[in-house]
Amino acid sequence: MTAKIYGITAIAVGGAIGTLLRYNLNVKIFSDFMPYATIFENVTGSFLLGILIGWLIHRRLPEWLRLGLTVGLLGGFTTMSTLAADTISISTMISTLDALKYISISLVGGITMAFVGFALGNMIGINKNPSGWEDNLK
Amino acid sequence: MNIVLIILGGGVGAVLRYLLGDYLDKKIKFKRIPVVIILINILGAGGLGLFLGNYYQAITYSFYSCSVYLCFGVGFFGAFTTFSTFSFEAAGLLRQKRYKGFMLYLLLTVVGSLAAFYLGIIPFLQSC
Repeated sequence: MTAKIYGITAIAVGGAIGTLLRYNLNVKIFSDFMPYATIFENVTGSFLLGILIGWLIHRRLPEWLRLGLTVGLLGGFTTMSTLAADTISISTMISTLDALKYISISLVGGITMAFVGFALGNMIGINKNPSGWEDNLK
Repeated sequence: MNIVLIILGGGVGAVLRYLLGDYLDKKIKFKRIPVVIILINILGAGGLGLFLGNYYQAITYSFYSCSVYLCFGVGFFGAFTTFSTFSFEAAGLLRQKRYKGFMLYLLLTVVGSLAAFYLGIIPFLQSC
């Protein structure tokens, strides 16, 4: 029970920080034509989550910290609802082609970077901990 | 004040995603593709559509001067849905060479989220 409360608290704190970072970037990189900030956040967040989970195959973090960073911070930093809203908004106000561009860049960028990030994190984890926590693999 | 609202919306959104995800994960026995993340993203996108339609009667993504938008649009629905876990799971399906599952996962998430947002907002738009 206590562990669950620690986890949920960490997710709340991580989610709040991730959301605040996303908001700050949205304000700093504001564009009327293309939500570059959201693309950046979603792609970077996917990359970082890939690295972290790849690394966690070999290394251990306290459960609350793992939840706070993955579910909280990176989950809150990235967003699907804004992506959906932006896509519909671009297609009605600018053009369908631009909406397609926006969603394609987000999807291809996010998935590619999550893929690369996981491989990278896995590599870093192995190098730092050759004996490994492979038994930690689900 | 706005910062407090963003923190509150984001924190609650992320926790609710975790709790609902945990609950759905136990209920849903189908594990070939990450159905839970699909459902959460569709729900959040639909919720954002309903919220924007109800509150603004417009599809725009920049109400940054409005505190209510910052709390619910950027904060709650922004953090309730997630893109990083979506991409990570998609990359996982690719890594396991499960191309059909990958395509299905991608299609359900994208079409589902867009349709949910659209269906959420459309009843409130005057002329479209």
